[in-house]
This record gives sequence, C-alpha cells and structure tokens, in this order.
Amino acid sequence: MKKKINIPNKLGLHARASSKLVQLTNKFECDIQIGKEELIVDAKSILGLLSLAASYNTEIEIETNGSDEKDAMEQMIKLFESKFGEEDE
Amino acid sequence: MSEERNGIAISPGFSVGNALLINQAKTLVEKRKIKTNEIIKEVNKFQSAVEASKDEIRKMKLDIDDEYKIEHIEILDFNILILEDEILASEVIELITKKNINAEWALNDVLTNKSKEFAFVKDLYMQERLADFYYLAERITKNLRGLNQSLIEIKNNTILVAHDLSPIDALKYCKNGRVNGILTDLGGTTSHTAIIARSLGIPTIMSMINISTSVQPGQRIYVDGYKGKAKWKINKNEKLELETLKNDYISFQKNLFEYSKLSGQTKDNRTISIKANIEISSEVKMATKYGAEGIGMYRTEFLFTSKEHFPSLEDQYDDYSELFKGNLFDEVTIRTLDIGGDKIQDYTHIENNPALGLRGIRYSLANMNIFETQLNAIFKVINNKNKKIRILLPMISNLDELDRSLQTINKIKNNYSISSNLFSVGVVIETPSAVLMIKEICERVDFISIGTNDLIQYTIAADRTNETLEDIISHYQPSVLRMLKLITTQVPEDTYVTICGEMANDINCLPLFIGMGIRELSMNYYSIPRIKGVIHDLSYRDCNIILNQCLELTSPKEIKHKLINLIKKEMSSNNRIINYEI
Repeated sequence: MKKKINIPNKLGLHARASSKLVQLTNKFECDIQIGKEELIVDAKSILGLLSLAASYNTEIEIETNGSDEKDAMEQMIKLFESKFGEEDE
Repeated sequence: MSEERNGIAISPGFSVGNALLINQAKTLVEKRKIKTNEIIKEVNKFQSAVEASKDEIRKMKLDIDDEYKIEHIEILDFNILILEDEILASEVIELITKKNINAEWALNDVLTNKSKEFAFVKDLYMQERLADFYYLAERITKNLRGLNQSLIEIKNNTILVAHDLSPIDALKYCKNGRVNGILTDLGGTTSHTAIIARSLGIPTIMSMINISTSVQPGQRIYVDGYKGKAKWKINKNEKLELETLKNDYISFQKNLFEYSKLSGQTKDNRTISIKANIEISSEVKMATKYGAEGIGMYRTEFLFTSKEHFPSLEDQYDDYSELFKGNLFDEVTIRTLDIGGDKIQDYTHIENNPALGLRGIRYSLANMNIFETQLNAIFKVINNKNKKIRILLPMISNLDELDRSLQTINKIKNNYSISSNLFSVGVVIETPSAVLMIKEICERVDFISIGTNDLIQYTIAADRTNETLEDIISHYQPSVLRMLKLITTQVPEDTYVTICGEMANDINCLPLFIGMGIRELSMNYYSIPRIKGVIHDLSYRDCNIILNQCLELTSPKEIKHKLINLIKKEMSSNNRIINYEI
C-alpha cells in the first residue's frame, strides 16, 4: 500500500528521526520504501534515509509491501505524526 | 620559549594536564588483492570486525550514567544503526567478492562513495553527522587489524589531543573524569563531539591547525576553553602565573552555582541586569542554570544558515517560541538577521569587504520579504504567547535605515492587535556613524545596545579576525573608551542602555560600565557567574572615579593596568575572583 505524507518535524529526517524510523521499520516483515521525487530508498536502512535529505514539509511517499504492510504503514504514520517526539507543543 | 595556538573555543573552562595523543593521523589503508579462496575468510573477518565494533559501542551504552544519558545514548544508537545497515554491509561484501580486494579497502571505498552521495546536502547539521561515518570506518578498520583501542590507558589529568575525535571516543575517554581538556585539528561548534564536551564540562578547543602534530606525548598543556587558546613548553615565571589561574578556576568552579544565584548588585546598591547572549534557542536552559536574568541577545544567524533554505514563518515561529519554553523568562531580546553577503550560499555577488558590505539591517532592507517574515514570526509569538520581546536592529548607520525599519515594524505589528507594552525596539550601536547620530536615534527607539565587538573594529579600522592586529584592536584603547563615553553622555535619561559584546565579560572592564551607569550587560552564559561575583565587590562611586581617571589616560597599557589594580584591590579581601588572562 502507498501513502503520501509531508515531513512534519522541523528538523526533518535528520540523524535522530531517521534512527527512530529505522528502529521501527526493522520490526516488520514487509518491504518498506520511501520515495522523494524520483529517489526511492529502503526505509530499513539508515544510510538510505539519510541520503533522502528530506527536510521539513517535504512530500514523501511511503510504500509497504508484504504480510504486515497495513500495520507497518499505520505505525509509521503514527511516528511521523508524533513529530518523532521533537516538539512538545 | 613557550608555544601557543588558537582555535575555536568549543567548551569553556581553564585546565592543565598531560597530552595524550590519540589517532594522530587518519588511518592509512592499504589496497591488496586477495585470492579467490580467501574471499570467505575476508568476508568473515569484515563481519566480525563490524560485530566487534557494535559490541564496543553497546558496552559503552551500558556504562553511560550521567545527566545527559538520553542524548548520549541516542548518539550511540545512531552509530549502531549505521553498523547494522544492510546497504553498508552488502556493498562492502560485494566489493570483496567481486573484485577480490581486502576488506579494509572495500570498506573505505564504500564510505568514500557514500560521502559523495551526501556531499550535495548543504545542511551544516547534517554534514557534521556525516563525520560519524568516518569514525566508524576507523573503528572497524582497527578491529580488522586486531588492534585493541581499549589498551589506551587514561591517566589522571589527561589532555586529549587528536586530529579529530569521534563522539564515541569523546564519551569513552572522558566519562571517568580523568580528562581535563580536549584539543583537535578539526571540528566545529555543532558537531556531536562538541555537544558532548560541553555537556560534560570539559574545556575544549577545536579547529587548531596541526595541534596533533605539534605537541609531544606527555607534554604539559594549559587549556583555556574560554578564549580558545592552548599553551605548552611553559617557563618558570609563566608557570607560576598559569598555576595560580588554574587554582583560581578550580575554586571558582566549586562556587560557580553560588555565584550564579547572586543578583547583579554593587556594594552601594546599584543594580545591573546580567543577561545572556545565545545562538541557539534551546540554550535558554543552560543560560538559566548559569544565572542569566534574561536573554539580552538571541542571534538569529544560526537559524538562518543551518538549513538549506531560509526558515519559513512557521519555522521561525516555532524557534522563537522555544525561547519561552518552561517559562524561564518573561522577556527576551531577538536581534534581527545580522548576516553578510559572504555567508549566503546562493548569493551571486561576492563582496570584496563583507564587514563593510551589505550586512545586518542593510541586507534586511534590501530583502524586504526576509525582514518582514522575521518580524511576522516575532509578532506572532508576542501575540500568541502573550510574552514580551525586544526587537534589536543590527548595523544601523543612518536615520533613513532606522526610519524605514521602524515603518516596516509598524506595518507588520498592525497585522496583530498587540498592546504596545509587549514589545520594544532597540538599535545595536556598532558604527561610529550611529554614535554621532545617537541623540536622534534615541528619540526614535526604546533602548540601545552597544555592540562593542564591531564598534571597536570600526572605530580602530582593524579587522578583529586578523591575529596580527590583536594588540591594536584592544578594547582598552583610549579611543574605545572615549567612544563609549560619547554615547553614554548623550543618551537621554529614559533610554535604556545595554552592552553586548566580548567587552561585557571582561571583568576588568566592569568598573567602566558601572561608572558609566550602564543598566544591563549581556554576555556568553558561562561568563555570568564570574561577572556577578565581581560586581558585588565593586561600588558605583569607586567605579565612577576610576572611569574618569581612565578617560584621562592615553595608552591601552595604562588603562588596563589601572583597571586591574582596582579589581585586585577590591577583590583582595575575598578570593572570589578568577582572572584567567593568559
């Protein structure tokens, strides 16, 4: 399944946010990819995520493909919506 | 002859210790062809070196138990994730198997290519994190070679000297409290290592050219983390002086928090408000810890230069809101963008003399959309948070600039219904031209802040970043004193005068400011306890006398001497003072 989302935290997908995302994606069986413009990377790889250099408000597309794809998508969206715990307000 | 070297002051403090040189040069890697029947062995060797590196970092995680535990663990986790990364491992293994080359070379080849991929990322924050990759490559390489780094023994009073220091090594070596200082050839203010050094309170200087090849192992080094200066090969006389400074610093450190709680009051009950200059909004927490009574100047340049794009209204709104987080202060001062053409990446016109170019308010007025966005963000915070903000305009040199700025401020303010007591406008007095127009400027604004750094540079016409001019560009020059006097005598009673700039944290200059009737000093937060400790032992009366005597003097040496004598006399009855001049 596919879903588009804008990076909601002001620091963007930096080291800390990418770490949290990779720690989450690696819990799932399914393939997870994230695309920004024409670049598509493996969301289970920290190097991949960092190479996206996705800053605040950039549109990205998440694609999950496999047995637990729905669960993975839901939890990733939840993590994005929490802004990786960066902003308290 | 003693030797000394300067660099970027990363973490404040004054200390002495013996040099321990680690990782003196970047690890040299040899390229070797391997036989096909050795491939499996080589791949296994690589995988176990990665595992060993991971184990080392995991072990460190268990050992961490300090105030900044969460932040330090996050940094280590980031490093572990890179080691676990499939892309890294598979690319290295592919190189080993397809090209028959040794693991060390394959690893370095992959990381070099990775760094090229990241080279287009302009973001400074991101760039500094990439340094972590190289540290990891070195760690794996060491494990491949079977050298065990943990054999390095850290003795008491160690000064770590390195070409570059990874955040992991900084944590590993410094956690036992035996490291007194860190000196490196490379590195900058926002690196992970700098963050760790500051949080551990270890005096640190970075970007010191060739320091790692200039000092000998075991050499005794004095580190001044305030000024970014290290000294070694000290002779007897100097040693006595430096040891005194060091001991003063140690006893001062012990009483730091006692001083930070003092009010900025003189013996004869004149109160001077002591505030902090900050560069990152989250520094408000540290500023409070060191006793700041407010934020006297938030420099917004870092916010603007740390990202690929200029921050949007929302970015700035979020950032300025951060200043009021935890309700530490009711009022803060935000200086509008003070940026020169040289600092802007997509700026096509390169200026010959950026210090005299399109900078500060000149840049803002030439780029109205940027200026208006910044003002909008400031007023939105005032409006939504119901907090006071002082807006400070940099580099005003004539009334036309000021009038146009005030019109713009007024225009943006009218987008909101804000009561006028929630904001005020001030000007940084930093050009001789503004000094000469001070009366008219004060008629238009609520306060002025004397920006001593640039005012001195423009008064003396000497570049403050030029080391050979260090003696000329002293703030003890009589012309500087007269310039300050010229300002303060012309300012009307109801204009609030503050000082921001290095001069505010030189204890010897305190009597001058007190004598001039300055009501607020704003400085690096770590200087605050020291300054508060000194104010308490001075009186307005004595300071005024000294000020007038200094104004009669004609050489910087005499002025400095006179001021030091007063400080020494006033402080002799108690040992609060730390005078770390070296």
